[in-house]
Amino acid sequence: MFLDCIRKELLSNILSLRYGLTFFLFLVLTLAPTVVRTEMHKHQDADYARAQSLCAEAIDSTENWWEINNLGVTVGKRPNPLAIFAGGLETDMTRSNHLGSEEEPTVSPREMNIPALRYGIRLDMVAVINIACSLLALLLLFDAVCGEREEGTLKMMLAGPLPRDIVILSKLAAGAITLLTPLALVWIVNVLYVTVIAGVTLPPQSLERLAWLSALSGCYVAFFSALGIAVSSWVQRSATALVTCLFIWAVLVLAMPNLLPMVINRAAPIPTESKIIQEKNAIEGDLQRESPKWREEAGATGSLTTLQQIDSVVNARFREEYSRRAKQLDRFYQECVNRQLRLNQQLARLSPSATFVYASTHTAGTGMQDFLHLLSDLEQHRTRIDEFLKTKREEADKVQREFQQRSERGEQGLEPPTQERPSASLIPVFAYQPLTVALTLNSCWIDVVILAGGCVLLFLAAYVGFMRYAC
Amino acid sequence: MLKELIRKEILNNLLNLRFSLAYFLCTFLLIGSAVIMLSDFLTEKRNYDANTAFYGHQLDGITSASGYSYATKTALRPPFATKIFAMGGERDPDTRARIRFGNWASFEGDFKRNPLVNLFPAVDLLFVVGVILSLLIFVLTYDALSGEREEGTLKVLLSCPVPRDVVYFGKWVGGMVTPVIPLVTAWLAVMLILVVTPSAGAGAGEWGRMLAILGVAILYVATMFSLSLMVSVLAKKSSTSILVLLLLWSVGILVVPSVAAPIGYLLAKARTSSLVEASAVQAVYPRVKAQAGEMGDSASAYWQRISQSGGSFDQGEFDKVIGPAQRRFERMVTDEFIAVSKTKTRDDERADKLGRWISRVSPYGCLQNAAVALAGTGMRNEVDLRLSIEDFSRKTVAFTHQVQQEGSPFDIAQAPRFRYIRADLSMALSDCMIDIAALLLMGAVFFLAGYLRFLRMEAI
Repeated sequence: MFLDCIRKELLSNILSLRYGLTFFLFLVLTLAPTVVRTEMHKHQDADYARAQSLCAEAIDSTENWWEINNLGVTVGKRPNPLAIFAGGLETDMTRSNHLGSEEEPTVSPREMNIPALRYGIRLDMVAVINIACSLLALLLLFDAVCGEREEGTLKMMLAGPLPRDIVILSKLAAGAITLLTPLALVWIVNVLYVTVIAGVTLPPQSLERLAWLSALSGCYVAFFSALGIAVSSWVQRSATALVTCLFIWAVLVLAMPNLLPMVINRAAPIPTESKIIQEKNAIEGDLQRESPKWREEAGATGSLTTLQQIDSVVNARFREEYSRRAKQLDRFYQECVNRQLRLNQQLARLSPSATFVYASTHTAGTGMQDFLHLLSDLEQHRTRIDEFLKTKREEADKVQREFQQRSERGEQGLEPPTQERPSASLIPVFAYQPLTVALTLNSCWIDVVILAGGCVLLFLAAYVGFMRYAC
Repeated sequence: MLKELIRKEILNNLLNLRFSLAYFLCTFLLIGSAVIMLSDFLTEKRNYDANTAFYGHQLDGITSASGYSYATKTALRPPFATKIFAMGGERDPDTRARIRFGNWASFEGDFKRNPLVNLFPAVDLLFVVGVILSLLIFVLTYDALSGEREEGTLKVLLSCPVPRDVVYFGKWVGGMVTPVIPLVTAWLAVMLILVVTPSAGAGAGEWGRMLAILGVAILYVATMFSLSLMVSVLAKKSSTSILVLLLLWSVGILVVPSVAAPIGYLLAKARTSSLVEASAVQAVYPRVKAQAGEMGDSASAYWQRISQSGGSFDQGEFDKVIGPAQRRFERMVTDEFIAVSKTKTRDDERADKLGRWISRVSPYGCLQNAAVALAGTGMRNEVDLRLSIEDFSRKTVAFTHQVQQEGSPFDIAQAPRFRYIRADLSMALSDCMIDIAALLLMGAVFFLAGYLRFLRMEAI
């Protein structure tokens, strides 16, 4: 009997024009942005490769390691193909970073830097599922119970020997299957388009990530299906159910995810930029006060005879000490940012929409934890580059000093030393290693539990509501 | 008769629970969104004021032209109150540009901030009106005529001596008033909040922009309502009507405006920031190196001279020795990088223009373009800011060179400061004329199509 009820509900859903439209909408809403985002990804990837090649050529054209001081080393993360499905923080993660120069590291503008790309809704699979699929789920099922009551068919159904719990369970099951089937098909179509038709190569473990993404989206859509049926089981009129569903959707999907960062900004504020720079200026001031002492120490060694040599040593020491203290300060402020981000994620679990978006973007490798992981990798790479360049400069200086000393001693037949020319192939390469799937799932499992738990709670609400429903 | 019909429609809507709830939701979202946006804006403004004062004072201790030349001058992107209405490109923008000796001046990224705001759409007034209110209009008026036909009340109405055009006009005017009431109420509430918040700094120009955005929003609501009424007339059944409207909403409101900008970007073959920078470095660096080499030779000659003569370092003399080479270097670098920046800006403008033309297929695309232009958060603002940075960069170089060449005493108070003056309302209106005209045209077409069909519609 239960299976018959599910079959009846499924058929009445699938054979309705509403269902056909839902499936068509799922496809159009996801495929159109996927096609466009795939082309954007290919364009950005090609530009990335070309930019890296030009940067390497620029380094190869320098004549000594001191020139790298002025030129700097530009590093960046290669665009992630999974960002086609879940853009997340990819636009920030793919910014170029300039390291290794005398100046502080700088971050470039966004790769595609026109304001129109930041308007309104940035549509990708996750955004479509977050906004449109949740709404469609509610619009498909808001009158699952109250609509039948208004038509008079509910009374007839319940007049038969069919228990109420079987009726509501079959509605829930059929509602979920009605929405999850086209969702799964849509995921398959989109992935096939990206990999087979567009020919984008996905990185290792991508299929596993995509499977988890589709499972997360299934949980999310099931949550809203259960919500639609739960509301329908508690109100008498379809119009009231519709408006109630819309109100809840607006609060959960639109209001809460946007309100949370505001609340957290007040709970865990980040110091202003001017405060950071004030502190760095204070460090610079302290070091300038210590410089005369270093100058005396350098002169007292006896190994440095010219003003230029002493200045060179003092400046190098100044830069090193400033860099060390500034990095400590940067780490402190970055920790303030990280604290705010973590708090953001924890509080976001109050909203199923925010939970879904955070978990999906993290699964795709474009989420908050991936962003923090990238920053940490960049920091480590910056240290590697600084040490590498410092070693190279010291080696070059040593060779030059030896030559100078030998020529001052009057040695004959000396030839100017051949300095090693910088080459991009010698410089440590920035190879961003994304978090593994295992680590990612370790962080995301709680979001899956929250969504699944929400489904169960809403199911219970629908069950209780329907058991008491006056038909 | 027309007045009676209008009154009937308005009362029907206002006394109907679903309409009242839906429009209460809309008003709540509009005011709620404005309060949140205003709070964020005030925080941004406070930070901007504090940072501007700080960067201004940072240069106060400089006492020589060469010191000023080597110092980092900072320009900050100012926030404007109109972004409450349409955030546009001002959603998490790069806010700081540093002008340094021999470097490219442009807005830089900053990782010391919370990027998570970009994960969700900005629920500004443009979003609430463009996305939510349009959906509500469709969902609540899809059966304005098809529903009456199904219920049989249309037949009764048309059997009375009421001309069909009066019925249609009455429905249109009466139905239009209902969504406009919460829109205007919320707008007035927001403007009142701004009046009682003097720290928002909303001047006469800002008020003009806000009223213009309200006008465009009302035009948009009229267009969407006309579309809904037209579909309701054309469809035989209410269920068909709602399905068609949902389809149009999904494609026209969600898909088209979102894919228009990326398609414009791809068609314009605009290059990414990293490629532009890398290309610029490759093209410019050999010349920069040669010029820097000339500077370095002058500096080395000076150091050798004082080393041999046993003299001490003199800043003034050093400046005189390397001054000409340094000035040539600075001018060359500034001009080269400004040329690259202009090329990038032209690419971006082309991409933006193409994207806007594509988005004009959708009424929401037109609303978005117009609202963003009026709020000053679109491409014009971005271009003007970049031009202001370039102009400031040139001025700092020109000032330094003038002081050095004239040999006059250096006075930091005379040094140029970064000032950004936003384009006025007339420029903003000229930017959005096409979008307003497109909305008017679409509204007229939908209205006329619905009207003409209704005149010939069978009431049974």
